[in-house]
Formats: sequence, structure tokens, C-alpha cells
Amino acid sequence: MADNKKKPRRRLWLVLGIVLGIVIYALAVDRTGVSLDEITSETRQAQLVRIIRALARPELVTYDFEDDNTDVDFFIPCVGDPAPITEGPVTVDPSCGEPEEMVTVTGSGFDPFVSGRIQFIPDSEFEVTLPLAVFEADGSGNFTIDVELPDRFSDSSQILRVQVPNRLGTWRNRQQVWTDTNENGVRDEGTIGSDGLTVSAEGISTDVPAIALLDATSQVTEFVTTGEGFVATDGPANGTTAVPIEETEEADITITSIETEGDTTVVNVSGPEGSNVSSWRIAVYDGLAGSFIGTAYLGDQIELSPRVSEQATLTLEAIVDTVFLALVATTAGLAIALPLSFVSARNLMKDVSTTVVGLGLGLIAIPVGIALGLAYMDLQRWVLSDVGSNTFLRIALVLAGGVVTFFLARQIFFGEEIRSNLIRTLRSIATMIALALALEGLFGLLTAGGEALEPAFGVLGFVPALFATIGEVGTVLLPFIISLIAAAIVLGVARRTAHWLVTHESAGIRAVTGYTTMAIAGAIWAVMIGAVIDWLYQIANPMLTVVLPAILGVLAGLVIAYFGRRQGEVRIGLTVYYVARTIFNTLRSIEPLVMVIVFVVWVGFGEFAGALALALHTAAALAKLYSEQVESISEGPLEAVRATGANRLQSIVYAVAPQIVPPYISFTMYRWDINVRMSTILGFAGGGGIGFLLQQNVALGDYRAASVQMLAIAIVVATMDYFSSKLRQRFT
Amino acid sequence: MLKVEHLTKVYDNGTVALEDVSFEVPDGQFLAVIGLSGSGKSTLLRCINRLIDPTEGRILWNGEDITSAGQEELRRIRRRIGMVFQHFNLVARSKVETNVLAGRLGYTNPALSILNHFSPADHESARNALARVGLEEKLGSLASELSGGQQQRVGIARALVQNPEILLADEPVASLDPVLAHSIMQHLESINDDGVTVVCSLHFLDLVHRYSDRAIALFDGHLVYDGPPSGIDDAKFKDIYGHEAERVG
Repeated sequence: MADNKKKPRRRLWLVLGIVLGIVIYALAVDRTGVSLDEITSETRQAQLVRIIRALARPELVTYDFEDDNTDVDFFIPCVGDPAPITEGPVTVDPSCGEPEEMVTVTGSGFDPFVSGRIQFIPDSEFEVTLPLAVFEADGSGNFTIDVELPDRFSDSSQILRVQVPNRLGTWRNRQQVWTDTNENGVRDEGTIGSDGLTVSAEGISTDVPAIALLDATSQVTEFVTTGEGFVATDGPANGTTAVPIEETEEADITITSIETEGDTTVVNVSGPEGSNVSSWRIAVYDGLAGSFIGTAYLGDQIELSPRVSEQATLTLEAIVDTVFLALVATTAGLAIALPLSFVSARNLMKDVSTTVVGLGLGLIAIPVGIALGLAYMDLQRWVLSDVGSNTFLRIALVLAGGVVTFFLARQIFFGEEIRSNLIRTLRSIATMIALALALEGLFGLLTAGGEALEPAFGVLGFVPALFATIGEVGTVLLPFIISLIAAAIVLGVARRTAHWLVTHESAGIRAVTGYTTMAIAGAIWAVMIGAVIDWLYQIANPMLTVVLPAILGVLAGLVIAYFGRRQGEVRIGLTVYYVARTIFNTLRSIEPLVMVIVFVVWVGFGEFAGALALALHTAAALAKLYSEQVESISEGPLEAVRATGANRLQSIVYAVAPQIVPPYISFTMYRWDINVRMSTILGFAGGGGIGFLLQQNVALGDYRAASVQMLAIAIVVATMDYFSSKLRQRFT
Repeated sequence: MLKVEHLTKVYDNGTVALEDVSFEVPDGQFLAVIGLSGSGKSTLLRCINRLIDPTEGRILWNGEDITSAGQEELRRIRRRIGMVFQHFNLVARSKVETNVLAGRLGYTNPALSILNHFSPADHESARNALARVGLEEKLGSLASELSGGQQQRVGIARALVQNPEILLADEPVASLDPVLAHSIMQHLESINDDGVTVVCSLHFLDLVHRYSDRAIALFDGHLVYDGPPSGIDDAKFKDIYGHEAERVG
């Protein structure tokens, strides 16, 4: 019964679900702007074809170009007869005009399918070239294009130029006409032999052939016809008179015979033996109609002279930069993520707890320790400020500080465990001071030495420069390193004090110390947070940024102390775990491409900004991946190692590390792989690398150049992918 | 003398694993802990070396309060308490020698051991311990390459290098076949003969009868029997293992 009742209702839900689904998809399609009109639009398709063709021909090699210019005198405005210019291979109709008027430019006798530019050279004391249009000749080497006249007035004649770039040393024009050699049937290099040279213009034939001989600059040197003389009205010999072959005057290089064999016109040319006529041409005309048919080269394939294009060189440089960027980012991210991954692993952190007093003292100890460390560094730098840059003093500091650090550290690490807390603390402080002095000297030496040696190393100057950079970074970071050590020392004292209080004092004193320390700690941290807020929002009201936070902090401290005492322990481990995880997840959800925008503002355009953004993202991502690995280890070994009395660090090294090394390596490789891919697009936001080039070329519409970068990215990403998967296989 | 006083453990999820358990273990005794799965045996053993923090009660060892020990004291206490586990708990990817040397971590300076550096004496004692369990030749093998019985012997060697005064064994033979079980139990017996107190949780009563000096039984976190193994008669058996249970073996 119940089933029967349910059925119609279920159907109703189903129908509603389908309707809702249709609505959602309709909305999605609408919002996405799916449009068949765009897809089928002819102009769009033409653009697409153009871009795809450009992308298919990455500009890896270039050729040396020589521009073939055909100039026509032109008047703006008209001063004489606007009759069309009809002589020569380029005609213009009309031959003068007002600015913004349209004129028709017609060309013939160009190489088939060649593309070129129409330019205007105004009458100017400077060399100015105005681009008017680009054209592409048809299969017969003809073109017609309407161009708009530029806004350039002059009384004298100006120049309308048809410019065709010729690849130097390349063979052109093979589609229609090709040449053969003299008497040997083999393509030769287009030199005249003892018997002259025969050109077979295949596919070009006429009953009454007329042949114009064109030299390397397309000038007509001879124009002969097998029929009656005539004046050519088109083609390369436009305006030239063809004379019957028997009436020609002898020239150095001359046509000796013209024959028609089927659909091929065979022309024999003679001249001084060895003359290189490889870039000379014959233009075949119909001697009856006087019309141009086609051209053929006297020579055959000439050697190409391609060279690696500038784009290819730039791309190679950029892709190497990109891979290095990814390497630096991955390494930095790894260094940050490695220690953090243990802090953000639930299984390691869930047992980390302390007492209320311990938490209170610890929270006080950290800022106090950091402040003491920074204060000490200020003091040290003030003392050393007068003599600090002295090389000998620096060496002395490194030696003395190093030796003292070494012996103290040896005692700490290798010596018998001392149970006296006072001596241990004093020893730690002494070590810290010795280390601070030694590092101060060392970083100073690195900076000075690196900078001094950089010129001496010449090309390899980047090696000392690296040391100088390490020195500079170290000098900046030293106060923070020392303050962290100081914080650790003070924290150790706080921890022991807390333990002593908890184990030795009465419940009353424990309660009082617990509440007091937590209240103080709460106040300190709240005031610090208040200072950050003040800096961020510039409130500048001590009431709001000091007093109020202090009161709130005290209250918060007391509340935490109350609940902590009720529970008996404060689970700081889980707190740290949740805070760390939250930070990682937040950072991870911000794309590096977005982070770059911030870093670009900070450190300027370029690879450094990209590396910083990528490193931050990598650190967050790896820390999460790593910590999940730590969480998935088998707990047994960890338990066993802890049971032997190993401390936390030892447990991690002996029970956790062996279990996570393979996945860590695997994830790091995978991340580098991802980073290479990421860094290729960081340039879009100013992060340097190959993306910068790519974006530039796309913006300029230079798709053949962009194609080079895309190709490089594809190759590098595919290679990285292959090797990282190979390596990962080895470690999993 | 190990003294457990009113030990109670309530897990975070509210499970009462132990309730008001008190007993004493004189030095050098072989104490068997029996009971059903989930009766609190493992919790009890782990409370002794504070792998689990008890909720209430105290554990005193030679007068020292284990339950209130701070981190450094706990380290000094733990290193004298060896532990053997049902699933051996070796680090599979580490060498046998490293697994055994881990037993010396409580004695080794943390900074040193991180660099994987142990004193020659530690290496010597690791070799001796492995020789004692008959696995000297497996020194350089990976732990994962060993059979179950061999792994448990490595686990014993790891406990041995601690020079323990107490050995906690949590169902050391539950994952092994009967023949291997006896070989492992004989190793524990021989360690006990050296004067080491052994607290060993066991499933099989015949092993209890054969090896232990005394047995305590847990049922639902309560101590239901404390006496000689021979004192577990049929009535006691039903108290310990429930009224539907039947004796096997």
C-alpha cells in the first residue's frame, strides 16, 4: 500500500527533476554564450583558418629577405592628367587623386601567390613609409587591389610602391612553371654552358610564342617574338616592344631559339660560358594576342639560406628560464612544506597537548623570546657597526664563533645529558650568541667576497653572485633565525617551569598560575593582533588597538584557562593542525596566476615574482599532500619507536620518515611537473618565463611566433611529464 | 616493583576501557594478562609506558609516578620498558639493524640519532641482541623481507637493546602459528629468566599455564581474576570469557 502511494509522488519528483535539469542547462548554455552563429560566421571562420594555419607553421627558421620594389610616381593632389599609369608591371588607376580617395593598383608578372605590400613614400625629408595594403598575387602572378590614398599633400611627385619580399637564395615560383637544364636532363644550377642553356616552360605554350628575357632585377633585357612585333600591355614586359627574333641585336646573354613542343615552350639562351643566370627569368607571351602567359626561371633550385629565427632563440632562452623558475619554486616550496607537513598531520599532532600553565607560559615565552632575540641582534649589530665591515674581523668572528659554536653544539648533541636546567639554558644562550657572531661574519664575508669576485669570474660570474645573494639574504634573515632560536630557548625554560609548577605545587597555586599566565598571554597576543589591525586599517586609536584588545585578550585567556582546566589539558596540537590546514587550503585555493599579481607589485615584473608566487602555492599544496601521506602511515612502527623512549623528532625520523620518503619524492616530482606547466602561463600576469613572450605575440597577432612558444611549452611539458612519471614509478 | 593503583581509562568517545584496576607486579615476575578482545588488555599495557594516558589512577614504578612524569622523565622511564607488539610494528622499509637500533633511541642524543649515528657500543648490542634471537645474518635485510616469526624476533631484539627492566608484550604470538608461538614465548621466558619483569597479554590459556607465574584477567575493563594460572577453573573461566564460551585446547 505504502509503495503504491509513493509511486505517483516519486514520478512527480522525477518530472520536476527533469524540468529543473532542463532549466539549469538552458541557463548554463545561455550564460556560456554558446552560439552557432559565431561558429558558422564566415569572417570568423576565415580568421580561424588564418590563425590555425599560422599556428601550424611555427616560425622556427627565418630567411634573409630582399625587398623587390616597384615604384610608381603618384600625385596627391592631381597636378596633371589623372589618366591611369599603364606602363610597367604595376598600373595605377587613376594616377593621382585626393586623400582618402580610392585608387586601383594592378600588378602582373609577379611570382604566383606571392604576398607583398603596397606602400606610400610621401615627399618628405625623412624616410617615411606608409603602409597602405597587403596583397596576394593569384596563380598567374597578377593582383588587383583598391587602396585608400593617404593624407599627404605635395606639389611634387610622390611614390606608390609595390614591395615584394624575396627570400634570398630561395627558389620561388614552382607551382606553375619549372625549368630544366640544357641537354643533360638534370636540373642544374642555372649557369650557361658551352652550348648555352635551355629552359623548358612546361604548361605554357602558344602557337606564336614571344619571350621576354628578365634579369635578376626583373628588368627586360630582350623581348623577341616568333611572329610580328607588338607592344606588350601587361606582364613584366608591359610597355616593351617585342621584336621578331631574327631582327634582334646581339646582346651578351641572348635568346637563340624558341620552340614549342606540345604544351611546353623551350627556349635556348646563349651567352658567356659560366654566367650565373639562376635568378633570371623568361616571360612567355602569346605573340598573336600580345598577352602575358607566365614566367619560368632559367636556374633551378638555389640553395636556401634559412637561419634560426629570433623567435626561436628568444623562446629557447625563455623556456630555459621557465624550467629554472619551476625548479627554484619547487625547491623553495619543498623546503617550506617539508617541516610544515609534520605539523599539519593529524596523527602526529593529536597527542600534542599541554597544561593550562604550560600553554600560558609558552604563549608568553614565544613573543618574549623573539623580542629578546631581536634585541640581542640589535645590540650585536650596534657593537659591530663601526668595525663590522673589516674583513679580518669578519674572518676572526667566523673562526672564533664557529669554533665556540662547534664545541658547544658538540657538547649539546654528543655530550652527556645534563640535568641542571640552569646550566643547560646558559649553554644554549652561549651557543646562540656564538652562532649569531659566526653567521654575521660569514654572511658579511659571502656578500663582500661574492661581489668582489663577480667580475673576476667573467661568464661564470653568476656563481659568486649566488654566494653574494646568499650572504645578503642571510644578513636580512639572521635576526629572525636568532630570534627563533631565542624563542626556542625561552620556550624550553617556560616548559620546564610549567612542568615544575604542575608537579610540585598545590592545586591552588596551579589554578592561580594557570589563570594569571593565560590572562597575560591573552593580553600579549591580543595586543599584537591589535597592532596588526592598526597597521592594516590605520585606526591610530590606542583605546581601540591596545586597551580594548588587551581586555578582550585577558578575557579570552581566562575562558581558555577555565575550559582547559576542566579538561585537564589543552590540545594545542589539534589547534595548530587546524590553523595550518586552514592556511594551506586558503593559499592553495588562490591560483598562482593571481598571486603573481601581488608579487609583481612587490618585486616587479619577471621570473622572480613568478617564482615567489609559485613557491608559495607549492609550499601550501605540497604541505597538504605530504601531511596526508604522514596521516596514512601505519601507526604501529610509530607506536613502537615512541615506546622505546624516542622523543618526537626521533620518532619522526625513525618511524615516519622511512614510510613517507617514496611518496614525498613522487609528489615532489609531480609538483615540479605541475610547476613547469604553471610557469608557462605565469607570464600572462607578469611572472616572467615563456608566457610573457607568448602573451606578447598573441597580443600582436603574430601567431606564427606564438606557435613557436606553444611548441616549446608542449615539448617541455611532455618531456617533464614523461620523466616525472618514469621517476615516480621508481619510487612507488 | 610495578604498582597499578585504581587505573581508569575513558576514551574520548566515551568508551570505558579500564575501570578501577589495581594490582602489583613484583620484580622478575612473568605476569600474563588475559581476557576477551576489547576487555582492556592492550589499554592496560599501553598505560604502563604511557603510550596511552590514563584518565585516573596512578602507576608507580619503584616509587616513581609514571602517570605524572614530564616529557624528559617519561623518556627515561620508557627506555627501560621494552615492548613487543602483536603486529611486530617494525618499520618495513628500514633495515633490520636500524629497527633494532631504534631500541637505543631513548639513550641516544636526539641530534645525533637524527644523523643516523649510533655509538659502536649500540651497534655491538644490536648485533648481540639479534644473535640472541638467532637472526644475526639478517642484519642488513629489510624488515619487510622477513617472515612473521622472524619479524617478531626482531621486535624482541629491539626491546632487548633497551636493557629493559620490564618487558611489555601485547599479544606477541596472536599473529603466529602455534610452533612459532612457542619459540617466541621461549625467548620471552629466557628474558624473564634474566630477571626482567614480563607483562604479557595472551589469548591461549595453555600458553598462560605453560609460561606465566601469575595471571590477571580483565572483563569489560574490570579486574576479574588475579592469581596463579592454575587457579582458573571452569567457573573463573566463564567469568573471564563470558558464559557462552567454551574452552578450547
